[in-house]
Amino acid sequence: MKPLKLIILLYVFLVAIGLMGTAFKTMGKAQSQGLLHGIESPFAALAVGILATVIVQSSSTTTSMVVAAVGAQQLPLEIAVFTIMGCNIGTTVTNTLVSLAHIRQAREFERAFAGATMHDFFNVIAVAIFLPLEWTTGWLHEAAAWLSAHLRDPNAGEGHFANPIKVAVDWVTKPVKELLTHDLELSKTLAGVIMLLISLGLVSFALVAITRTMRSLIANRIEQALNRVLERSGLLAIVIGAALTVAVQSSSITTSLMIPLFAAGILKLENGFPVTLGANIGTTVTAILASLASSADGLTIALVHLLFNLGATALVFPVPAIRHVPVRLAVGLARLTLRSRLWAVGYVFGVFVAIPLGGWLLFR
Amino acid sequence: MFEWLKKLGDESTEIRRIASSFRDMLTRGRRIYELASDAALGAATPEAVRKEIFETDVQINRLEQAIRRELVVHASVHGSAVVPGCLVLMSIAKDAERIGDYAKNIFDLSVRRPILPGDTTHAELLGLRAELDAVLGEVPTVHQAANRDSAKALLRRAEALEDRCDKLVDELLDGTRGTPGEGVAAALLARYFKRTAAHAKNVVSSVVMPVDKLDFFDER
Repeated sequence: MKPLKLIILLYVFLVAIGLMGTAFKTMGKAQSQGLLHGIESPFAALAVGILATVIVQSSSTTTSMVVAAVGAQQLPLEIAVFTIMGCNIGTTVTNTLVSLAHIRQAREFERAFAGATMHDFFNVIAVAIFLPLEWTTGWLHEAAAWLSAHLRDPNAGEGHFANPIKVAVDWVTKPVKELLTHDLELSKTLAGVIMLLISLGLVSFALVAITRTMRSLIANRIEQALNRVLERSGLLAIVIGAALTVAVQSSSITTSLMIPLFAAGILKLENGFPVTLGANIGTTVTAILASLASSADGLTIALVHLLFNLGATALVFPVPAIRHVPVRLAVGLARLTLRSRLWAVGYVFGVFVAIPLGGWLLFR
Repeated sequence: MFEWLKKLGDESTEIRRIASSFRDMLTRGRRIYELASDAALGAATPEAVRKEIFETDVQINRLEQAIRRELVVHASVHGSAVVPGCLVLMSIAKDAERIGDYAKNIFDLSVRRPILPGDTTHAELLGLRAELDAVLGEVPTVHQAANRDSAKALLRRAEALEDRCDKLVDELLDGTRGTPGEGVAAALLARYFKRTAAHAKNVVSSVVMPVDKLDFFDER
């Protein structure tokens, strides 16, 4: 029963992404850009990615929205790259908030907070390296575009690409559009807004339901995987983190599950860190799934997400001296919280609200 | 059967595996109890059993540590519904570990002053040893079956054994049994048997009692 439920939910998710793209197209460029106003610069786009993900508590939702917007040619690929980077930072707020549950027990909290924030530090370092590189060279989106072109049928033009998933999605999205614009004779803007709201609701619903279903379906596997990670680390832990995240469609679930284990002291930070890297990679599958209901540009931005996280992992993980940097920074911050818990509160508010909000106001 | 126990059994193969490790602890504990009491009652020399006792005790301790870690993971993954069951397993794993510890105490006693066939308490202690061995042998089975009637029957049997140990200790204290040197050793041995039986009881009580009542038995 659950596998069937899962297939239905996946279809609902793809329909929602398709509907979102249709909504952007129906509204037209002027209205869409009104919605996306203020994210023309890389820093503003980064800030919006962080803020949006913090608000909806799901990078899967925000990256899927970016895929739909890029696929509908309403958000330039070059800018969307930075929004995706922001989503990557924003998603780490969830496990940091989970770690706050241990705030009353000093030593437990120190370990839990360090376990949570090493993910933050890794993602911030990755952005600090890749944002200027992408801004000056554009290598990330160019590499993704090249890969996207090779993954798709080179003989099929944009208009002739017979993507069976897109055809199945169109069975629903086209009649909805027809109903709103033709039968009910709503204005394109109003119809677009209605479709956008419906699709946002459906994306959130489908992702939450997929995550819950998968979590209950593979709870034993998750447990076995975590038990393995307790004993050893390295590449296997990255694979475990990625596989778990692909399965539950949420990096927050993977990273948050480890917080009590860090707090209890039974999972070492060094052993848990590769799992968070794997979770970063695994979460990119959601955007790739979403791109199945989108266009070539949708796939390209989804691949940007994948390449960004693969690149960051390849840069940080192999060299122990570099690999330990995010962990040591997290430990240092956690020690500060022992002096005063206000450091923790200030950190969460600063990194996930104040700085991105200030950045957006400054650079929009 | 308590709801939490049913839930644990149905919900996860992992908890079954953890419970199996726990029963492994019990089996190993019984094994070193047998070796140590053989040495304490003159059926084996301490040198012949020392290595196996200490190595097995280390294995029991490692199993307990692994069980603790795995229970934390289990509770993290499955949430609050499994917490009572995890707490029970955490508690009774400590009892299983203590059975191993008492086996070492019995062994230490065998090095200083074994109770030999000529001693006045030998036959009585031999009987207690056999009865405790039988109780320990049933503990894993009763725990796995989680049958209330079998658990209650085993609890009564362990309580009767405890009473016999107390009676012997009382007689040794009164001076009605044993020589001075033998008396101390026999009293300690009877006491260790009683404590081992008490830990076995705690394990079995998890089948019939809720979490907060574990380890607590009203004075009889």
